[in-house]
Amino acid sequence: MITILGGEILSALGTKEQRLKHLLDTTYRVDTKHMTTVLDEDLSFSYYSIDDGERNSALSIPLNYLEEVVQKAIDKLGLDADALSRCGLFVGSASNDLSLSLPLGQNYDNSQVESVPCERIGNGYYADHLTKYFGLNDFSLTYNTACTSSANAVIDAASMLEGGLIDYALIIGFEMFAPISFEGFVAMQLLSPDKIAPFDKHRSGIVLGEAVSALFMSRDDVSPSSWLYRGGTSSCETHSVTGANPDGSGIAEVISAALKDAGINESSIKGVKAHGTSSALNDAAEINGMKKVFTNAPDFFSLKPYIGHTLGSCGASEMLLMLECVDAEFLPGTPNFVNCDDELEWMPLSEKKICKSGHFMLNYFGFGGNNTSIVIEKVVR
Amino acid sequence: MIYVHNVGSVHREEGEELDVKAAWKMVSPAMIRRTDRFIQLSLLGAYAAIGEKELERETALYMASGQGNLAVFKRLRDQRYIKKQPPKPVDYINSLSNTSGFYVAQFFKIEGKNLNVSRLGFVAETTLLLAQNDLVLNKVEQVLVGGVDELQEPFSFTRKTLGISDERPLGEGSNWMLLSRKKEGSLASLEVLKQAMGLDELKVYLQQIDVTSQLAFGQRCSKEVIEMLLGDKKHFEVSCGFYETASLYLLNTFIESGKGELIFVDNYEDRYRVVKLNC
Repeated sequence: MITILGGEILSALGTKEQRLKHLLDTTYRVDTKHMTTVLDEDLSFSYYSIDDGERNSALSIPLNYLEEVVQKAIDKLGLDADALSRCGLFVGSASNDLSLSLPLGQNYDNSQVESVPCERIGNGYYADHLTKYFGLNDFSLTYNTACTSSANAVIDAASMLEGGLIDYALIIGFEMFAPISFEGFVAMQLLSPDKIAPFDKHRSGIVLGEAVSALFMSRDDVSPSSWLYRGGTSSCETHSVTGANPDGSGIAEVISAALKDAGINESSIKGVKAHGTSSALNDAAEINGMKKVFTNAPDFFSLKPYIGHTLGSCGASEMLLMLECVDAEFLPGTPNFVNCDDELEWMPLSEKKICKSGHFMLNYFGFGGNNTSIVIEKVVR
Repeated sequence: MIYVHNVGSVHREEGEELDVKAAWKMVSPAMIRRTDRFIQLSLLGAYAAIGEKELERETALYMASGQGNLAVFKRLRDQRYIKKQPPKPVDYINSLSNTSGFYVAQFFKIEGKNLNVSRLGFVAETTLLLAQNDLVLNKVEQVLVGGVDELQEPFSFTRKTLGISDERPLGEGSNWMLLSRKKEGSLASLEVLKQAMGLDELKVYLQQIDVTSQLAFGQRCSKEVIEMLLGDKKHFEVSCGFYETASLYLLNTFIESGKGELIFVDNYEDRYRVVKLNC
């Protein structure tokens, strides 16, 4: 049996005490990001920056955050050097080539090539660094499947643990503020100017955020836990490169497959962490997909109003938040949900609900047709 | 044990010409408009492996790349800093690495698990290891594994970010293989050793292999190490400019032309990984 040991997260919600208070009270903190576009146009959008006190995350090097969050997770779980040497690394991020962006940006007229050091950089740079820094096992992969990146990393980590290639797995989800990515969302007119309100009738789009998370998994013969990974699937819906089929057929398929992989039926699901981006079409596709599988609306909620849409990081980051909520014996409400959308009919939890254990589904959907669904279980021992 | 059922490669050496757009237009003119050269290169390589064969809808696709779609990053950079233009939505979408896999999946009408993975070294071997594990555990029925890297100018910049010397010729390629558990009709069996090893461990391992096995080496293996490990074994060599996923080009070339057992050794820093092929 694959176990989920827990971990640590840096996000807009701050420390564990702060984030539990926000999640219990259905509150959040969000910043305003001012941007001067390439057309010298001043724009303001809500943005969930990492709440890290004095540091300015936008200017920080991701490695600082990665080392910090992994170290905190190691300390929390009491993992020793031997355990780390048997731990594979699975990094998920939509920020492709962050390590290359800097030299590329510095060389946009191709005149400064000489100043670039001869050093292997590119995708995998962060994984390579973390493997050496923490003395991890040789196995590492970096996943770039847009918003499902670290969710797919979780599924593959479970597979490699089941196959016995590794005894522990460290899953990293990270997403930092990236101007080109931000402007890409602006260009596609996907951002809400003010707030993220998943499944609400007046939802107006996505609010982006940054998060760095470290999640450890293992097997029960190596390291038991009250949290179990029960199953998960990922699929590629070729309807459109930018989103799931609004009729929910692709989402229903991946949810059904995840339930089958977990060996349970839909009535066993105690709560669903929805992807819930607050975009009109994606939220509709998600509800339509759930309706094809669930006879009655399950308790579902979106965590994106708390930390923003953290893109490739949301797989690991939202799983960690969910573990913390259920460990504190509740499912969180969905902030900003006020008005039921008549076309969706189903409504997310708007306030917290007591919940101590059971099976839970976590759904993630991304660009490139990537749909991912994971089933986990909290066992009361 | 897993089996290779189809292989196909599109490969170019530095200094050679390859009009990917024209070549792909011959196959699927409808898929030109929103795709860029990197995506077309991915499609062309996958088509070289699969052709018009109909794949099962659940077929998974694991695509690996050493450097990803750098050309689109350069376009986005130029749009932002030189042309002072906002990013074009199509360029932003294409900058997401899994967009290539999406178009390959769309072309072959496959809707299984679709991954885009990368690594500084061993990217092809690690992706094959992941596919092997998922196949052995029955997580997937068959996997289309691809490795795609595009030659990028300026070459001096590319060499530096790959960490290779100025004299080293570069290449590019899109190399694909279809893997499954089924032995019937296969071209070869494939096994990726589960753990990486140090040089001493590798030497011990190589002493135990069959005397008729051929040895091949990855592009990061030094001449000294190759000479030391080769001994009296037959050396299977493929001339190829440097790119991170070129290991798949070598494996595909052996499957297409070789017979017997191949032990392929790749190196990154002080670690080694081994892939065994039997044709």
